[in-house]
Amino acid sequence: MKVHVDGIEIDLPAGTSAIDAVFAAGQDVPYFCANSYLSPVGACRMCLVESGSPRKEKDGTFTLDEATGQPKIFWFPKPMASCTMQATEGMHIRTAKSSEVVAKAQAGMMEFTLLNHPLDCPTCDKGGACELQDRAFEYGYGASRFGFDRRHADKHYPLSDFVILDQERCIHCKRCVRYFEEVPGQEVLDFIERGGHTFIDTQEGGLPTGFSGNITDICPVGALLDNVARFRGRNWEYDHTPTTCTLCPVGCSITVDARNGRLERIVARENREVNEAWICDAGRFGHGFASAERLTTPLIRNEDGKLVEATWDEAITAINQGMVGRDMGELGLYLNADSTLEEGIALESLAELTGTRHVDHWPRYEVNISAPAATLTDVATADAVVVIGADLGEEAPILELRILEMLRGGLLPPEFAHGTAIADLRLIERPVRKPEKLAVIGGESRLWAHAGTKVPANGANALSRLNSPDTDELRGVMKLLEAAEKPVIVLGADALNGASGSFASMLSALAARTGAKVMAIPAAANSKGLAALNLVPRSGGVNYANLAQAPAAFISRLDPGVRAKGLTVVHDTHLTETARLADVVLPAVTNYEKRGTVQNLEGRLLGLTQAAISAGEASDLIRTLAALAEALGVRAKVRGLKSAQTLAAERLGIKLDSVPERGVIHTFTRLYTAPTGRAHTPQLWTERMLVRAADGVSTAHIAGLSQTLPVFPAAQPGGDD
Amino acid sequence: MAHAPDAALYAQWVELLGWLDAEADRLGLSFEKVSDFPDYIYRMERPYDLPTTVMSVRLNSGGQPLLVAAVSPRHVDLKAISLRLMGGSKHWHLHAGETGLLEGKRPFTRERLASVLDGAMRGVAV
Ligand code: SF4
Ligand code: SF4
Ligand code: FES
Repeated sequence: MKVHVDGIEIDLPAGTSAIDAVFAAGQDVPYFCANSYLSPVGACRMCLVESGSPRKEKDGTFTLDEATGQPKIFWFPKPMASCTMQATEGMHIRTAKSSEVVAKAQAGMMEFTLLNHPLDCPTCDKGGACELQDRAFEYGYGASRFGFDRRHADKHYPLSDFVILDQERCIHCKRCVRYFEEVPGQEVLDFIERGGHTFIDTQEGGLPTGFSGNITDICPVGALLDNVARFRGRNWEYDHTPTTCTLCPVGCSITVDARNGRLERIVARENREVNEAWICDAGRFGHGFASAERLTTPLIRNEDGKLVEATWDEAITAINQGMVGRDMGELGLYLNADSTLEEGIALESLAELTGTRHVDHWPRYEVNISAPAATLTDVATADAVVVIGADLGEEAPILELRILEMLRGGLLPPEFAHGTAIADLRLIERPVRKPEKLAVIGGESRLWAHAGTKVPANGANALSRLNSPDTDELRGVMKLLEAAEKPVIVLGADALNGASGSFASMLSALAARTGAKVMAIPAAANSKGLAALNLVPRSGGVNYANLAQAPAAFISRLDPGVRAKGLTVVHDTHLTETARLADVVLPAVTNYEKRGTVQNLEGRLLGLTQAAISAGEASDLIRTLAALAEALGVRAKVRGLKSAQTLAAERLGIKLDSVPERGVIHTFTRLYTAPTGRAHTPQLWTERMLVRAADGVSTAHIAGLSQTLPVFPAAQPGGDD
Repeated sequence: MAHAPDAALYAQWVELLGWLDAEADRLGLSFEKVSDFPDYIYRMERPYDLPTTVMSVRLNSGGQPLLVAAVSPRHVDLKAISLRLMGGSKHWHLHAGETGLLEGKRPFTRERLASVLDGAMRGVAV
């Protein structure tokens, strides 16, 4: 399909919207209401262009322009909204660049949109990252003829603990309303009243926590703002670090915004393969711990039995002395399963060096699934999904959104050189959903509301019951799987806890029989990747569940609440309960401050980048293990990221130093497993992720806010920067 | 617009703020400032002569705004005071009169405000 934009001819796939045609041609058109992954509605009228098409005679030939002999272009009498108009063969489009009419129409719309806008820019948190400001600067006339009073409505009104609404700033683009209805399928926001009085509000008494934060990303103005990051900094003041969220195994792409060494805000980063443009509320708002009450120096126990601050050298000496009379192989090594592959390799290599049998990572399951793995795109484009024993809200929130995407038809917006389609005309408001394509077996969860078939069952034996269905409902689920062409089975903690090899073979058989792909949600952000390393107890070794029985232990970012029998070294970001019991505490960095690689639930390797957060003398696991080796009197083979990646190339045949931005699917050939001795209960939000009241200041000085909001005191003047 | 009515408008706005505060007390609502005049916040060295800096206030019921009251900033044409029942599609447009606020030709008294609010409270109750 040939389309001409400002005289530039381009070739585009059929179905492309005019707005995407303009961008594909390298031209520009302002827009407010269109948003990738949402239905285009033509509400803001900012994207006006002139357009015309050739017309055919009865005999099928083009009506020719007498003067030029070329097909004559019949122009629409009025400027058209390019976001809701489909580009067609031979269409001509003029943007403001080549059309006075368009330039005037856009400037007129800009003036209209600004009429009722409050004068909040200098105090508005969106200032500097505001689409309204930018478009006004680019396309407006820069003067106001409006001499009258503006709209008055409610301001700085909390829709929930996390989202603040300013009704005066809203330009009625409806992105937030469409987002809630179309993406998480929750009708919790809407316009109230009509005409100039229209405002956004909820009748539900507040927004549900889950996926509400995404509206703060997509609101083109400062009407909906992230309350956790409120008044923390200007957009241009933040150090933006693109990285991967490791709170759950989805591994969403995020941008971490830090200022003066504090993590102030997290926003979603697009990854078409993983999270599209969305992240969950935990991933966005649950970063309070990264800059609160951090451990910044090592601690050692003094003669009075108290933990006191020390240098790394003193800590190394203390470990060395604590191991006197012990074989270094008695020091168990335990790490959190959200650690990077590089850290895992460093630990595996040290375990080999010290010859310890006591090695483990947590959380993990005992089963390795060998059935063909489904990607998140497979889930979104499946024609049937069966979820067994999973509470996605706790285990993998964005997977829930991808399943809901499947129910709406799995329409993935096309990609152009300018990025994901700004307006995909196949996406429509209030989309039809097909709940019959989703079956949920297990405990009740948020997903139930969307499922055509809900089977209350105990997750542990749900799979065997499904294999030989004993009820009509289960027979129905089996039928759904068998009839589907691209079915996906999703397994969660209730099904995977305590599952073993027989479970894996039963699953493989079911997958083979039905042609289903399988997504078994790993227990932690990198459990899947770490399973490729020998990080499980060797024969006779003490596993994590029995850590108290280990002769001595090094515990990285885990908080079992017990210590080992002998020397206990804890490496953590905070003074946890376990750290308080330890002999030596070493300060760790959070995953926001790491470089490295994790593998998500679909097997995708994703990179972490280091954000500028101050953590004193805290150190990542690789360098900490090198220090530990020094204390044990051996030289670690892995001493930094580079040597870890070299070893990864040798050990696993993967290149971790060049993982592409969107990640890459990798299947490890060998996986290690061992009994765990305890069940894993997934929990997305943990206590420390919530900003504690003590960390915030009362907002009484912000007129009218009756509740205490987590607004942090300003950083010290002239502080750390 | 003449200057004297403008001064009257802001004097009557201040009086209305007092009534709103007192009525909120009577009805168990919270009375909160919503915004100050932009022309006060951003005035820099320019003189400021209005009797209050408050441009809009709200009466909240159970954390939800019930009524928003606002006055026009000093530089706008066709100044007025507006009352709106949030979500009720009810809007009052008040002007400064010689002896007090006017709702069109009808005086807008404290009693009238009380009856408006009583009506709004009945709406909230149902
Ligand atoms: S609150 Fe923001 S996203 Fe929602 S309609 Fe208003 S301007 Fe658009
Ligand atoms: S879904 Fe998982 S990876 Fe994505 S933002 Fe939430 S916790 Fe992070
Ligand atoms: S009308 Fe809003 S982007 Fe087209």
